Order: sequence, then C-alpha cells, then structure tokens
Amino acid sequence: MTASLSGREIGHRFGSLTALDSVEFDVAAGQILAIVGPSGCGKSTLLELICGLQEPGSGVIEAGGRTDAPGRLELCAYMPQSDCLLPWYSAIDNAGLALRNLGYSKSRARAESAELFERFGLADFEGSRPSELSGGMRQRVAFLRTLLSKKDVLLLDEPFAALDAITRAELQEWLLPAMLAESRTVVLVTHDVEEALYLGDQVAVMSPRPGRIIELLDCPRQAGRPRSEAVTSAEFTAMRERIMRHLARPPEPRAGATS
Amino acid sequence: MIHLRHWLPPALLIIAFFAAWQIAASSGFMAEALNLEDFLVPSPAQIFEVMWQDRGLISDNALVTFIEIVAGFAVALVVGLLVAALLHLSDLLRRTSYPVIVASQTIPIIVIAPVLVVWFGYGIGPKLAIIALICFFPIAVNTLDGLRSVDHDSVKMMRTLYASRWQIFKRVEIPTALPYAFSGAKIAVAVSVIGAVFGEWAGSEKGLGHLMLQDNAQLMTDRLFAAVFVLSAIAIALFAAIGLLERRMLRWR
Repeated sequence: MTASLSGREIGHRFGSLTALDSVEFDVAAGQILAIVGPSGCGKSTLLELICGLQEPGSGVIEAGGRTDAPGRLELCAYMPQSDCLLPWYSAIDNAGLALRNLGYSKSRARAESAELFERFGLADFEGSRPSELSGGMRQRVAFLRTLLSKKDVLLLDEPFAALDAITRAELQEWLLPAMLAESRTVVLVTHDVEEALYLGDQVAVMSPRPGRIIELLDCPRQAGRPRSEAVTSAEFTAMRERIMRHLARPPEPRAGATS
Repeated sequence: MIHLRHWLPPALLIIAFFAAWQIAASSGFMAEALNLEDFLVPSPAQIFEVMWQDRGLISDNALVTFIEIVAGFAVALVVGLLVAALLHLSDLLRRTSYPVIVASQTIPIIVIAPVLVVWFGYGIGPKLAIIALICFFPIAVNTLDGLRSVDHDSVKMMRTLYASRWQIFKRVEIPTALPYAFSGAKIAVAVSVIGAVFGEWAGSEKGLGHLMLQDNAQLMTDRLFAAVFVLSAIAIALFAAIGLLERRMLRWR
C-alpha cells in the first residue's frame, strides 16, 4: 500500500507575495523526501498543498494517481509542526483519532493503537494525558497518530523542531526504522540539515522566498547504522557542507542567475 | 478538611464583616450616624432571627424565585449554546446577527419588564423571559469566542485523518469551547438573580423580589435583608454547583 508522489511547476501566492515558484519533485513509492530550507521559504505551505488541504495556485501535484485536492487528501496524512495532541484525550485515544473518525468503536481503536504503542516503545504510556508526556514522547504519539491513519503518504512538518538537540537525535534514530518498517511514502520538512540527510532518501534544498528547489541530492539509507556514526562519515559531512553553502548564499535574482 | 485552606479565608472575611455590622448596628452607632430609627438599621442577629421566625414565608417565596432562576437559566443555556454553535458554523449568520445579539443586551430590563408583564401576565412567563435575556448573552458570547479560538493546525490534522465537519466539531471545537462556556455560565448565573428580582418587581404575587417590595413598603427592613441574604445564598449555591460540574467535566485542565 504505497503511492508515488510528484509535483510539476507548483506555484502559490498569498496576495502579492509569491510563496512557491515552480517547485518540482518526484518521490517513488516507499521513499523518503526531506525538504530543507530556511524558515519562511514556504515548506509548510508546500506540505499543505501536497496533502490536498488546498489546491496550488498553479501546477500539478499528483499522489498515487490522484491530482485533485480531495483525492490527495484521501491518500495523505499530515503531522503539523506542533504536536496538536488534544489535551482532553489520553495518549492512546489521540493516536487512534483517525480510526475513530473512520467509525471504529473506542475499544477497537484502542486495541489497534495499543499494538503500535507496544511495537514503538510507548507501552505503559497509553493512558497518559498529553500534558503528562515529555516533548519527545508527545512527538512519538503524534507520529503514531499519523501512522495509524494507514494512509500511503505521510507529510511531516518539522516534526522535531521544538525538541532539544539530544532528544531530537534520539527521535531521528527512532523515526527512521519506524518509517522504513511501515513502507510509506514520506515527505519530511525540516530546517535541520543533518536531520534531512540522515532521514531522507533524497534531500531537496529550498531557496528563501519565493521557495524553489535549488538542489536535489540522493543520499544513502542510514538505517541500521548508529546515528553518531552516520553523521560523521566523510560522505555525509561533504553533503552537509554542500547544503550549508546553498543555505548561506543570499537569495539569487529571479531570472538568468548563474553561480 | 482538605478544603479548609480554600474555604477559610472567605469564611473569615464574611464573619468579620458580620461582626463589624453587628457591633455597629447593635450599639446604635449606625442608626445614629444615619440619623434613623433603630428598627430601620437591623443587626445581622435580628435579620437571622426574623429569617428563622418567618422561615415558612421566606422559603415559600425563595422556592418560587429559585424555580424562576433555574428555568430561566436553563432556557438561556440551551439557546445560548445553540446560537453560539450556529454563528460559529455559518459566517453569514454571524456577520448578520451578531449586532442583533449585542443590541439585545442594550434593552434596559427595568423598562421592558413591565411591558412583558402586560403581555404575558403575572405568571412565571415574564420572569423566565427576563432571566433568559440576561443570561443568554454571556453564555453565547463566551462560547462563540471559545469555538473561534480553536487551533487551526489541529483542524488541518483532523481533516487529513478522515474527520468530517461534525467530527471536527465534536472532537476538537466543542472541547476547546467548553471552558469558555463554563465561564459564561458562571457570569450568567451570578446575574440571573438580579433578573429574577426585576421580573418580580415588575409584577408578581410571589417570590423573594415580591417579598422585598412588600417589606420595603412596610418598613420591615430586617425581613428585607433576610430576603437579600437568601437570594445571595441561592446565587452562591448555583455558582458553586456550576464550578463543581466544571471541575468534573474539564478533568484535563
């Protein structure tokens, strides 16, 4: 149950402000695309367009053969930047929201969610209220909630931006095998270059507004490798340097610019 | 005993207030200062004595007023929540009818109350209408604010998790608005007793407001105060009941 994803000539404006300009991407089924860019470059907007919460101003986005917004919405699940756990539900009921929305009974949704809690190291936290969980735990529950939608495409918006460096590294190491085991197509947006390189099969670098993809890198899968080892390898460091140079460069003029 | 720390300060304040009043009234100081006859300035002890002597009369009237308040508040609660939900769900409705709702609060109740009595008679009708009119506003406005304060990212998240409009309303918007609705209900219940008294003053045969009018006319100041005390006690009890319900329903806070 996977779907491929592609975008052609995507452009989007907010009034007189061009947020996105001819963005193109291809993600094969089961692959992970990490988009990295400075804040305000339109990364979050791009995710909302991909998952069909709105139509792009111009261009075509296709997910699993569907190009209309409602069609994409059927296939895509969105994990917003803040965890958005609902404080009136326990961790397990938050995780099972998609199932409840599909009409599952509370007990059936819980039973199904509990399996994932077990598998992803969250057992014993089922009954906790979100306010009782640490930032890292909240993000894990939010990810399971996205996963439990059983949708083919997962769109993760800076999932670990609010966490401290140590917890973030820990969660990256946790997320990678989780994503791969589930074999979903993933688009992950981040401003953390290491995170993008560590988690992505491809890394797209976006320019400051108007957001455009200025470089696309293929990276080797790091699964099974300890993160500390992966991020210090020569290859990884070289790619990081390259991306950092892109991000440090001042915005290029719109047309005819060469480097 | 756990709540002692919670209840002790207000209890001490009330006791101190009554003690000061008692001394000022029974020493004749207050009557002298106001240049009045002693019986016009009753002490708390006298007021409670009258309250006990006339307990039958006072409780009969209190029951009438209590029923008016609870019924009027219930009407306001149902209508207020319903209006808030409708205005939240329809932009057009909100833009067109919000001014009308605000205008409803600018009606001077004292002026409209006698008219309502002319229209609906001396029964419970006009009192219900007045109490509901006063209570409706804080409930509707607070609940609407609550519904509109919903987190947009949560709504987006729910939309990608198959949620229908109704499911978003039920699982995200209503729980978000609930604390606001309770705030509105607490304000409403506190002012509801004033509405009841206005309604009874405009025309009634029973009720604490009616009793107050009679006592005032007969210069029975002690029983007038006794009625005021009972009315306050009703308001405080209803306020506490809503507070209790709030704590039970909003366990997550």
